This record gives sequence, structure tokens and C-alpha cells, in this order.
Amino acid sequence: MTMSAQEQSTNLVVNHLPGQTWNWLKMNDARVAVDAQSATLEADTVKPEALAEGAGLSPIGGGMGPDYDKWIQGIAPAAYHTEAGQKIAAPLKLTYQLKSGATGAASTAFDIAKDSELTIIMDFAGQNGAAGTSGFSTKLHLAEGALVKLVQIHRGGADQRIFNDVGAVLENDARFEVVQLVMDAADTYIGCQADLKGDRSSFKADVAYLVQNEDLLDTNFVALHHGKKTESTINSAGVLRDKAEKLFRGTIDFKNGASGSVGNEKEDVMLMDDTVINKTIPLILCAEEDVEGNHGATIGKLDDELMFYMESRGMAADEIYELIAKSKLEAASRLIPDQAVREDVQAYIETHQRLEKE
Amino acid sequence: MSKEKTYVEDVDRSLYDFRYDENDQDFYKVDSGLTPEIVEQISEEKNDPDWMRDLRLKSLEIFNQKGMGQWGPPIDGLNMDDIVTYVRPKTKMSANWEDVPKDIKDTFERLGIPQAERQSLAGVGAQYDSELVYHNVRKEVAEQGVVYTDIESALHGEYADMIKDHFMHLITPRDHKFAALHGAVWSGGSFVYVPKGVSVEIPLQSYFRLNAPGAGQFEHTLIIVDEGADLHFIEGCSAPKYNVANLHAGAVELFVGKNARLRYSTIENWSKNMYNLNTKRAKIEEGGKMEWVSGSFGSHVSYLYPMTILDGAGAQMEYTGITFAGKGQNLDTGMKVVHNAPDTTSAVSAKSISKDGGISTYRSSVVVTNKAKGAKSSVSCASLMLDDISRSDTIPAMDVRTQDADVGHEAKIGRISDEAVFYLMSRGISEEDARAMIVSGFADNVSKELPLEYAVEMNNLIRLEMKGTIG
Repeated sequence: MTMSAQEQSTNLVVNHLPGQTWNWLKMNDARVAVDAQSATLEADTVKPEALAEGAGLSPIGGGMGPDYDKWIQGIAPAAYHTEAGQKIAAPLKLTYQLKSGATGAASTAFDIAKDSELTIIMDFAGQNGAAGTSGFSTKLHLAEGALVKLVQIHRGGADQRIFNDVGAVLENDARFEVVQLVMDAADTYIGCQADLKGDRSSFKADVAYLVQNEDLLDTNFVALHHGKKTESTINSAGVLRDKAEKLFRGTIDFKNGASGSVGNEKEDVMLMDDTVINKTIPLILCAEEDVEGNHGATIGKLDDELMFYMESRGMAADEIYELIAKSKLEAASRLIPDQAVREDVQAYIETHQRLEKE
Repeated sequence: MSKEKTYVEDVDRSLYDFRYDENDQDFYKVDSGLTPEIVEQISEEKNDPDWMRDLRLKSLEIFNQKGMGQWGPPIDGLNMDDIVTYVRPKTKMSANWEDVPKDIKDTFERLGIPQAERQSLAGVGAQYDSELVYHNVRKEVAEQGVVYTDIESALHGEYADMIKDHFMHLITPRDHKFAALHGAVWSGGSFVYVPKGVSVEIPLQSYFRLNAPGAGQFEHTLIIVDEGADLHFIEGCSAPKYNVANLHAGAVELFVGKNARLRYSTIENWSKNMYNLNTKRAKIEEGGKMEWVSGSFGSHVSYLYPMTILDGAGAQMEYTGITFAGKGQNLDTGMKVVHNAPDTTSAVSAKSISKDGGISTYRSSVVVTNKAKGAKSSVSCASLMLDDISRSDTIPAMDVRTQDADVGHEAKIGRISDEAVFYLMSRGISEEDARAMIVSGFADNVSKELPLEYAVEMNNLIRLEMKGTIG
């Protein structure tokens, strides 16, 4: 039976704010009409020899939410696993060429064994003019003492709508580090949730973005502190220009029993035009006495003292803004652990990603 | 030092929990529930002008159409069919305490209202259930042209047009379900008009007492501070505790003129069976300043977010608030501000304390429109958890739509430092007193903004809340 286009279209509700607020702010979630995914996006894969394929995972929640899990469930995940104690130095590189027209999706699952280490670099790459919708799901289970560094680079072309969902469960002493760079894409939805289930487990996310033209970036970062003495850090820094819109949701959720835990989140947004829309909602939810949670946000123009200092060095205001904008992306790019990818991204920022409106 | 859990007893509220049984011959009341007939009955009882009667009926329609939001504390225990929306003592409003019926007068005397009036207030309004029973303003203040009266009198006097032009224009019945409810059944409250350039040196106060079990109080406060004028208004409220739900859905509309200043202070101490679903909103003109000082201690459930619209260039807002959520309380408080003009500023300092299973939520929104070039906003919120059976959430939203803005936000959540308690104990202070001192210090930002008598009352409330602490 062939379904009509209308029947294939679905209204996804994604990036649910873990603590709901006034509806008129339009921050509680994102509602997007999408077609049913119709093709699996294959990755150009550079796999370290020591990394084994196969073995799936029990369901793990991501930042995007159950609607998205349902939407992508028909895509069989590419699964990888490590052996106990295995420290894999070379990164797994997965490069996705985003296609025009079709609605494609890819799912990846990682089972990271006790005391093992893995670096994963995902590059969502596309060309301008390649209009389409792409969905990604990355789910991880980190056993005791495991370490995963996940780098995701969004340079998917200016005409792509991208859904990027990450979900991880961490056992005792596990550590999960995420670096995300968003440099272009028409509409980008990112959900990222780390369940700090084990004691002393930790999660760190560094996010940098440039959103311009009439593009949209909609994010939802969630750190669930279940274990004792767990730690989370969420740093988000970015630049908005033209008629861009961005919504940052960041939640530190201290569950009862997570004593001795610490959570920090910070957002620093530079606005370059009067036509941008910047929305920020950093939550701390707390059901435990013995915890420490902090969040801070700085939104708007550059600090007067910094402007004065740089202007006194002979720079014009516009130049200063351009320089600072570029520096925010470069700062995040320096966190990419692979030298070749790092240099490639820095070259992309320097050349292709000119921070000037033409 | 080993970490020891603290047990905090329930609050001794005998100061507020005394009550007099109301008998039918002294009170007029409508049936419980909410129907067009009841709304018309209230309207007739209050001798409303036609436009007010229409507003009430339209509001009822909106109330019936609107659903509840999916956010905020549950209000399942509130059944409008059980709530009596209008209870009037069979007495006329007086400007002389001696004329107020004895039981009602005794109530306000126990709460210290007549004494406060004599010592430190420019005027007092006292509402008992649905109606004002006392209203007075000092002669010298009245001679400055300051109007301080009940809304009902104002509706039929020389300020009738001013009331019509402002009443439920800032908070409209369409805002939310309980604003619509308020529009339908409002009763009581105060009208204040401060003429151009007049500075009222000492505060005015309205005190709201809800005595009837299962009743609602829906007072409306409308304050207009004209160009260059200055006013401090204090609002106090309390009720005895009953085993049935009581409801407070008041509305406060504040209009602050060019270069005028208004400070609005509230010490909310409703009983712990109260659903406090109150709406407050202020609109500030060019160069005007709005100052909110808010202490929330009572209620079973609270939804309270004073909103400020900075509508003129250079308008300012300051919010200083504390919320103390104890056993059986779910207090959702915070603020909203809209920067809608150039060079507007807002500064927020919000604190909350949760203990003994209490839930405290700080909820806010800072909206900066693209008209607000040069706007500055700074929000700071801190939450203190006193045990691990309580809950404290922080949900602050920011929506910024101009490049030329400077918006900052910081929030912290944590517990009383063991080191601070240890330090104080090493100076000979008991652990109970040390903890109470630390909490009082934490709340200092609010108490130092209140007139001395109210700061003392607030600190007493904190001490009561902390009483019973054992190491």
C-alpha cells in the first residue's frame, strides 16, 4: 500500500523542557512537521581497528524525547562496542553527506565497557542548496570507569533541517564529554541528555554556534543527577546575526539521593543585529539538600570595558564583533581531540564560514 | 563535624489562626459555586454600573472557556463548586475603628493594624472577607489631594471615569483562567490616586483578612501614581486555617506615571489551606520606577509573579523577594518584566527557602523587545534547601530581541554551610539559633527593604518557621 504524502507527514514534539513554564513564551518544546524518514543515511566511516561492531543497547532516553525516538525507531542502529579496559587512541570518524530532497536518518549505538575509552567524531556535512531533512540518534551506555569523547560538527549546508539526538547512561566513575559546533543549517534541533546514574560519574558539554540568515537553532541539554557526587558542566557560547533565532534549554536535575553532586551551566550569547531572537531558559531542578547548582547567562552586546580596550587598540566596533564571533567558534574547535579534524574545522571557520554578511 | 540532619517543626501560627465563628445574621453570603445568577447577584448587591455588570458576565464566559495551564503546582484540591465567592459582613465601611463590629475589630487589633496606623501609616484599608470594613487616610495626606478609598465608592464618585479607564485594562479577563474568575466575582480592594508631584512620605496599607471557611477573596487594588509623584503601598494578608480549601484570586493594577515612583510591598501570610492565585501588574512610563518587595510565607499553593511593563524610556524596575515553603506548601513565585522602551533597566534579587517537604519554585521571564535599545537587566536568584525531603526549582526564561541589550542572569542552589554553623556554634550559639541566624541573613535582602515594623514581623515569621530545629 502506498501512503500519500500527507499520511507520511508527522508532527513531532521534541526538546521538551523538563520543567514546564508559561506557554506564551513558546519554550516548553519544539513542534515540527516532518515526513516519515525514508532512507538510512550511510556514514563514511573511519573505524579504529580495535573497535568492534555489533551488540545493541536497551532503550536509552535522549534530549529530543519519545516522539523522536518513535520517529527514528525504524532505522537499524550501527552498533559498536569496546572491551573492558580497552583504550582506543584513534577516533571513530563518521561523516554524513547530507542529501538533497530525501528525509534520511541514521542511528548509532555504543556500548562502552568498563574502564575503556573511545573518541567519536561525527561530521554532518552538506553543500549549500542541498535542501532536505536529516535525523541522527546517538545512544551510549558507559560502564563503570568508561570515558567517551563525542564531537559533533554541524556544517550541513545552509538548506538542511537537522535533528540531532544524543542520550547517554553513565555508571559509576564514567565520564562523558561532548563538543558540538553548529556553523550552519537552516533549522537545527539538538537534544542531549546524560543520565548520571552511577556515583561520581560526570558529564561535560561544550557548545558553540553561529546562527545567521533566517536560521533556527533549538537545543535541549539535560543532566540528570541520580548518583552521588556526580558532576555536570554545560557551556554554551554563540553568535546570532541577521534574522536568526536560537533557543537554549539547559537543565541540571538533581534527583533525591544525588548528595554531594555539583552542576554548572553557563551561556554566553552575542547578538549582532536587532532582528535576531534569542531565547534562553536554564533550569535547576533540585530534590536533594546536599548539592550545589549554579547557572549564569550573559546575553547581548559585548562588555563595555572589552570594547573600550579593543577600540583603544585601533579596531572598529564592527571588526571587534567579527573577531569575537569567530573566536567563540575557534575556542570550541580547539576542544576537538583529533588534529586533522581540528585543522579542517578551523580552516572551515577561516574560509568557508566567513563571518560577514554579503 | 559530622553532618546532622535537621528536623523543623511545623509553624506556630496561633497569631494568625484565631478565628470567630461567623453566624448568618451577621453576614450575607451567596451560594457556593459559580453561575451567571451568582455573578448577577454579586453585581446587584454591589450596585455595579452597567459596564461593570457586563464585564463580570463576559469574564464568567471567559472563565468557563479557558483551561488550566500545564505548568505550575497542582490545584486539584480546589473545587469552584465548593467556594463561596462573596461573603459580606453586615456592616458599613467606616472611617472610625470604634464603629467596626467588635469581633472584626478585635481581629484587626490582634493583627496590630490600628496600632500600625497610629504609629507609621498614612492611611489604612481593612478588608474582612469580601468587603472593606474600615478605610481611613490621614487628613494631611488627603489635603495633598491623595485619594485612598475603596473601589466601590470610587466607582460611583468623581473618579468613576478614571476607574472605568483603568479597571482590568492592564490585567484583562483573557490573561488566564483566574484573571477571568477575578473579573467575574471581584469585590473589595482599594483605589489610590496620587496627584502630580505629590510625595506621600509614609506608607499606605491595605490589610486583607479572609475569615470565612470555604470562601474566596477577590479584592482589586488599583493604584495610579501620577507624573513625578511618589508612594509606598503595603499589602498584608492572613487567614485562619480550615480543613477546606480557601481561594484568593486578587488583582493588582499599578500605573506609574512619568518620573513617578511606586514601591509595593507585600507580606503574604495566608493560612496553609489557601490557594493563592493572585495577579499583579504594573505599567511604568518614561523615567518612572517600580519597586516590588515581596515576602511569601503562607498558602498551601501559590502562583505569584508580579509583572512589570517598562513602557517609557528610562523606566526602571527592582524586584526583591523571598519565598519560604514549609510542610504542605507548594509555592510557585517569581516575576515577569517586559522591556519595551529604550534604556530601561530591571534588577531582580529573588531568594527561596524550602524545608520540611515544602516545594519552592522560582519562575520568571525577562523579555526585551527590539524597541528596548540600551536595556539592561540583571537577575540573581538563590535557593536554600534545608533538608532532603523538600524541593526547590528554578525556571527563569529570557527572550531578547535587540542587539543593544545587556542581560545577565545568575542562580545558585545549595544548603546551609556546615562551616558557617560550626563557626557560630564555636561562638556559643546553639545550632538552632545558628541556623535561624543564617536563614535570617539569607533573607536580609527583603527585610532591609521593608519599614522597620514589617521587617521585624518578617524576621519573626522566619524565626517561627525555624523554631524546633534540633541538631
